[in-house]
Amino acid sequence: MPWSSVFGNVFLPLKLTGMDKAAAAPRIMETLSRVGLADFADAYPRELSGGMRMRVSIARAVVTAPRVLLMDEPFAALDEITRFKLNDDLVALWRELHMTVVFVTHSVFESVFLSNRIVVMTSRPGRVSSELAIDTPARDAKFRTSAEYAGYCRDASETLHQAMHAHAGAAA
Amino acid sequence: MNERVLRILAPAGVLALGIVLWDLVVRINGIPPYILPSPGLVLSTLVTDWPILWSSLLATLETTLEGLALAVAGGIGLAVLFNQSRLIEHSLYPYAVILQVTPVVAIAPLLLIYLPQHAAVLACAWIVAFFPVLANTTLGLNSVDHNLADLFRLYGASRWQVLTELKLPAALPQMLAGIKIAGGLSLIGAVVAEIAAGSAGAGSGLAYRIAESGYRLNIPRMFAALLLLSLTGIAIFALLSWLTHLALRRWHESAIAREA
Repeated sequence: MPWSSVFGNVFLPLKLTGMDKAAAAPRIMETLSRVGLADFADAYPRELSGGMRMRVSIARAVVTAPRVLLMDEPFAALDEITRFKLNDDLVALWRELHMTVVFVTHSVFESVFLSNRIVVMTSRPGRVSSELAIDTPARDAKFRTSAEYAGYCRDASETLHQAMHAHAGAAA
Repeated sequence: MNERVLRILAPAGVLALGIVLWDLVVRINGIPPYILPSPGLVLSTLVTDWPILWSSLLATLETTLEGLALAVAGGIGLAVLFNQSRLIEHSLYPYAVILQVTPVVAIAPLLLIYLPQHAAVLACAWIVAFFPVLANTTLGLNSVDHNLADLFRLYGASRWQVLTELKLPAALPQMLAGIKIAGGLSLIGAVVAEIAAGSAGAGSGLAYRIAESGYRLNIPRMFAALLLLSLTGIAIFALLSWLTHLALRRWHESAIAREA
């Protein structure tokens, strides 16, 4: 909501359930500091960068402590540096809040970095074509440059190609 | 010269030039004041007739502001009502348009027959001023960001919450633009109605002073009253622009100063 401060935007879901501002404030500030925006509570969205706005959206989504978080290509429009940073933050958030995140992306690298399970889908009709498990405890900067990560990326790319190819074959 | 100074100096220069020309035309041709008074005479009339003009100004200003307040309340109220119910919108909108397109000068005499004078003048101001508020607010209410509307639905917001938390704030820029137009129109409505009313007595407005001075060939006073009317219009516009700026400066695109 462009007319509302960062605080107001994150307060929205709680406000709609009838919570008053004073009661919600500690929760909002805690969520904001989780996404690294504690100093920007009074800023307005237009004063923020694209990555920061995305953080506000994430804060607004998790402030109600949901069990499932749905994200549809959230970082597609961001530059790579910001994207990596937000990926790291999302992993941290996911560990702290113990929620299931369903993350839609067109980036193989992003999917491998973030996921326990990757579900590859075909387009038109949108069907599940295959599933990969990424079994690694480490999801940090080191993991991103490891051979293990590269291997998983190759597997995921191949699976994706197969899905696209099979689909093209079926259509022909 | 920097931009800001230019923006003040340029129109001021035109004004000064205009006044000098006006004065010269009057002097050189020896035009008598009952045809065209000199600027100096208009100013001195403004000072000597101040008690009369001041009370007239207050009367007109009161009608204008009351008309504007009613127009804002009525315009926003109707827009919200239209937004909530298609049936009401389709039933009433054509009549709002008819009220708007019928020249108020033509309606004023009729209103004066059925209503006491003050109420009739007020009604005229309202009729011309409410439509821009209605039309702009309706536009604003209907152009809410769909993603935000979905977000509100996702969180199970009630109709009332969607209206107060989403639609009204989102419509604020358009609403304020409508109110800015309505400010000027309300003054026009009040003036038209006063001229149509044309009855004498205490508490008559500036427009009535103009008509009366015209009958008495008191041309300097006509000019003085006209000058006051213009200044009133400018003041209302400036006030509403300032309010718009205050309300939007932190978040709306229109209020953001961009570096060239």
